[in-house]
Amino acid sequence: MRPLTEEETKAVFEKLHKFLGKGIRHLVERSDEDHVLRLNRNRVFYVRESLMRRATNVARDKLVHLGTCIGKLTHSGKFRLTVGALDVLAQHAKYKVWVKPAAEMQFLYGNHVLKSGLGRITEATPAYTGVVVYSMTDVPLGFGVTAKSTSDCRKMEPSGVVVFHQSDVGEYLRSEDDL
Amino acid sequence: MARGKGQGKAAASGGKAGRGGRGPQAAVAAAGKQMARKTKAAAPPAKVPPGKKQRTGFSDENKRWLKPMAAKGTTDAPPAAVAKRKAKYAEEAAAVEDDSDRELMDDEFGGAGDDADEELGLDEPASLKAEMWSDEDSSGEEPEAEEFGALHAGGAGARGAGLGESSEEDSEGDEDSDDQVDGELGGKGSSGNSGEQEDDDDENGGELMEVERKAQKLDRARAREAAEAAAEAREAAPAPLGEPAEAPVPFEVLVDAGEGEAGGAPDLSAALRRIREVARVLGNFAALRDPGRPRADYVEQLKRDLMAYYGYNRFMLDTLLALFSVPEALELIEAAEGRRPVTLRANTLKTRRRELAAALIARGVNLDPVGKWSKVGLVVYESSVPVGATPEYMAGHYMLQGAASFLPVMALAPQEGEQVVDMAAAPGGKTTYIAALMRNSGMIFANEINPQRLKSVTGNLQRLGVTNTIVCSYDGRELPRMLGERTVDRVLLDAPCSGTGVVSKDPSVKAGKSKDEIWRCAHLQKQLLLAAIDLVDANSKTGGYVVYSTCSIMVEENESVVNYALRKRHVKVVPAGLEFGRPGFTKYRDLRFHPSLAEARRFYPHAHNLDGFFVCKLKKVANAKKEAPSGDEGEGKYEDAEELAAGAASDPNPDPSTSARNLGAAAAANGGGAPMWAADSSRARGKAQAGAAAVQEPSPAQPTPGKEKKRKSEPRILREAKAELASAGAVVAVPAQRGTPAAKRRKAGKAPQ
Repeated sequence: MRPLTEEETKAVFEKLHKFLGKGIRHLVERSDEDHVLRLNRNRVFYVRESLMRRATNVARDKLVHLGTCIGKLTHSGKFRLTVGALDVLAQHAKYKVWVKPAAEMQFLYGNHVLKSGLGRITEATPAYTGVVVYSMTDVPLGFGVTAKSTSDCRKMEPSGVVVFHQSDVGEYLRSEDDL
Repeated sequence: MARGKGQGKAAASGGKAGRGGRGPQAAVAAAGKQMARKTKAAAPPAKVPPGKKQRTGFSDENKRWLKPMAAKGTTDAPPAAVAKRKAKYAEEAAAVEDDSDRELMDDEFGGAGDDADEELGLDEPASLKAEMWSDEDSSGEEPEAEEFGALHAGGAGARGAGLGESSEEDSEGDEDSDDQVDGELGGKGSSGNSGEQEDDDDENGGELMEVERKAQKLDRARAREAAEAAAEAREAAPAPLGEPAEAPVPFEVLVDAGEGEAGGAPDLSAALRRIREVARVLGNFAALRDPGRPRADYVEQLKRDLMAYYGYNRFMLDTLLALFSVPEALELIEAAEGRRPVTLRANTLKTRRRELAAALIARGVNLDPVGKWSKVGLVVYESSVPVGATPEYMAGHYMLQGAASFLPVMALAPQEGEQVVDMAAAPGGKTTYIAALMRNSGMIFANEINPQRLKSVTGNLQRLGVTNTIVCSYDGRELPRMLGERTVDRVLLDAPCSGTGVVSKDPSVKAGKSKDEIWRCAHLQKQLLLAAIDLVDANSKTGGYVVYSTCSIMVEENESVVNYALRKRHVKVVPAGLEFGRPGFTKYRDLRFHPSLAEARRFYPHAHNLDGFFVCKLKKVANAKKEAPSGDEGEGKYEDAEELAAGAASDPNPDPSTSARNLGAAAAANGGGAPMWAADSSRARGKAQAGAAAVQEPSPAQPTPGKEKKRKSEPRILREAKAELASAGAVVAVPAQRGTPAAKRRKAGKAPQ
């Protein structure tokens, strides 16, 4: 377990900025306890400072998981968010998309969200921003990137893609080993 | 009419009072008291059907049978025969009620209350009716009416309900409907009068109406059925009663020794039949045995048939028959064949059980709360969608988990802000439950040695939204070294075990376990439990608890392991906080355990509809370790080797007195290589020898075992070594405290400076 380097931290925050915008503040400055980012075997963990300190007891090769795993760093230094970040994103998400019950399962299988499945979308969502996808009962299902802005979405035909799928909770069943 | 109704109401209230109390006897007593009151109150009967001779009160003819129906302590003592039969039926009723199905009866056949009403309605008017129908001078009527009442109260709900219903039919059938109650009286009061009824008819010369005769015939038939049902119940009851149900039957079905093995497939239906027969004989051995065959033959036959039919091996069967009586062992084996119901646990970090249940029901799952004992459990009866793949599951709102796995975490009861260790965490159900109880505060260390199962732990933790957990992959015995001794508040050890309690999940357990394997499991479990206890801080403000649980029913893996820990560390068994479950064993075969082990809880599939489980909660009382008392024969040898190996002290010098003591003590026990439980059994002997051995002890001030805080063995060893050196003339500084550098050096095994 080690702290992130400058570049790595930048990559992480850039990604998070796509979803949270200014809300990144909430991740860094928290009212209850300071949280930090730590890296262990290419996985980035977002964890309470006290927990992190206690985890220094554990040997590097024996430590498996810590707090919340929000993503992975690739070889080339790029950062990819994984489904574990969903809880963190859903708390402070800036742009949200709600899908109809019929299209829920499609999204959970890993497909994109089509216009026909779109229930609601936050006003003034620009294109190509990160959004968190919810079901109509306000249960977070995953996150993705918008294909079109809100106004464009209204004009689209039903089979057009509205949100590109990036990650969803179905991965807990589909790809448990990759988590 | 009004009187009848009033009596009916009073009977009803009396019935409820009686039922709420102590069962048939109380009900009968209540009914008796009421009847006594009523019969004395009602002087002349208000209505008499035409054509009957009018009699009042206790005439000479009625005196013989018309007695108040109180069970005990009344002025008119019932005749001895009546009392004996009453006692027999009350006892039978009590025995049937004591059946573990009782709660089931009360819930499902909730009409037990109605039965009580019926019963009292019947008892009370019986004498009234007798008053009016003075022709029925039956001596046996009253006790048989009582018998009826006892059967009503104590019998299975179905039987009672059936009889209740038929009595209602009876009242309809009666055309004596001036007084509806009288009609009922006519029906019930005459029930159970078999022989006497004919006499009465003859006496009165056809005074009974046609309908009444038919009614009486019906009642007789019903009474016969009731008696047969009672006989069946007695036969089926697990514990045989004092009087045998039928005459002893010579047992010819017993098969010779060689038959089962002589080629061909074993005849399973014959095996099943024989199992039942032998079980029946063993239940009432004195009466039903074949005089030529000893009991061992029957038991052997039973084992062979069980092995053939269910696929167990001999070791498992021997253990099961040693743990349970024959009928209960059969119940357990039968229950273990089937599956336990699918249960899930609502994740309180993300949802509430009520909302989750609503959401799942909307999806088409048929479920119910698992019981009063859990606030988060749901049991799934059937489902049109896969329960493990709903969007709610994927969103982490619940976890599929066996209901028995709730129990260790409920016993552990972690508080917010504590540090908790889960030493064998896969697949993460208990860890996530702990996190939910702690509301993501504090710290949890989830440890799992098997790397393939680690994925499931992390997956479940992430899915359920747990943020306060560190997952590591150590051997559990190394954890105190890694985390530090005496640093956490609570530890949950759901130890790896033989799995004999979850046969339904893994049928290979039936034939695959041997004594060696159990011993090896037990050895590992003992080491893990000691490590768990070492992790806990006895002075923790909120905690200091270790919960040890296994999914096994073997005593060697459960009580024996806890007993070992009680001897090696300053811990005590405390109540686990679980309302149900059988108490742990304090003695088993030739082993004797600490009496507090009765606070541990055992769960069985046939008794609780849970997987076989064992849960024991320990409280750490003091942080020191116990030194092995000298009387610890073979055990002592293993333990000293373990302590030395575990790195508590790497003192390479085997103390001559220690090893001599051990050898001497081991010789006193059943040989040096005796398995653990045999060593346990000779503790009593060993303690006596400890006194003798202590006399020969060169070490100063041997503390009395179990009373004082024990010193570690290393200081004594080294102290003796120093004494030798001192006697040889060297000057040795003996440090007094543990934390000093010299003590640390001693611990590290280096020579004292």
